[in-house]
Amino acid sequence: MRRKPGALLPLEVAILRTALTLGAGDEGEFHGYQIASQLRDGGESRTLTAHGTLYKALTRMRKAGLLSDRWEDPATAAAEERPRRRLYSVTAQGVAALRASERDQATGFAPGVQPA
Amino acid sequence: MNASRSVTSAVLAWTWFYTRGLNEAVRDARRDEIASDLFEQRAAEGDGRAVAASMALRWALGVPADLAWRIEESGARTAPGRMAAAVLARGEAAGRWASRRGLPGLTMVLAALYGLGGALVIITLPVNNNPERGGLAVFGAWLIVAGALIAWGARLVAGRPWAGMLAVFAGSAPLAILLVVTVIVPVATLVVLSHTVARARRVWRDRRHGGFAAPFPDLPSHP
Repeated sequence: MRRKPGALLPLEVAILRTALTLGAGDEGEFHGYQIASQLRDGGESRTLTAHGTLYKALTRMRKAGLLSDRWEDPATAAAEERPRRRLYSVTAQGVAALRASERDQATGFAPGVQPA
Repeated sequence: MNASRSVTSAVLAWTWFYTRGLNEAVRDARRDEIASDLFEQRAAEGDGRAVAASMALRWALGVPADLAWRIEESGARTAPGRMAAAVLARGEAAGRWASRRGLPGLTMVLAALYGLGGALVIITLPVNNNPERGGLAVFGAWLIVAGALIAWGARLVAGRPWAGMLAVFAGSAPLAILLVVTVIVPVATLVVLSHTVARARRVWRDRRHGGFAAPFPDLPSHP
């Protein structure tokens, strides 16, 4: 099945909803593993989302303007002796896309939003 | 080296492999992001065998998406590139489906892939010029039987644990040995077998305690 151009996939809806409703990390930011574990704990999936599936979705959402991202300060990661994190946050466009998708679902239409 | 460290090394090696030759910034970002994810999972969940199985499952189910991402990032515009992307998109959808449904999903994906692969081998025999067509026909039939055994065994294990485990083992183990070089098939098989044994043990435990297991407690309710 070919998806409508610009339409949100169920995983993308779940990521946006989870990031906004379950609350992400500091300043509304989250990293990959964090959102995967919140998707599982929130019942969106039974296991942690596969690496390839998760990061392909995050890349797609970032390119569509639904998420913004930044790499954390290497000094912070070094101080905690761990690899640096790529931190994502939901943009205003992402919030609008989620609301539109939820509105479409509530009115019985297939989800389909057009990220600019 | 414990199991989760071994899986971490395998996933990092796989990430190194499928990001080779890409733009340096894109390549390094993906490698760093996967390294961070693996570290965070082990930091949060520990180094046990369950964590190693979870990491292996995340890896195996994400391989089609990894390859599809690679094709997108390398900007493939040729017909074979587009065809590969279309096939991988189907695999990616199967991976998402299995992720949502957990390990029973992976069992059914493995069964379906064997069944479809076997059907494809047999259907294409008339137009196949390979002189070993007799061998291919046997291999196709084997794949179909293996898929059927895995699917049947997964459903049987709740009522007849030994028979169910035997069927899943007979369907998956020989092919995992034959296809060991693919790495993904033996890893997926190990995860499926571990899950089947765990389900059988739950059934026996419930029976010992005088209860009974639901017929298919954790199988997906619809395809």
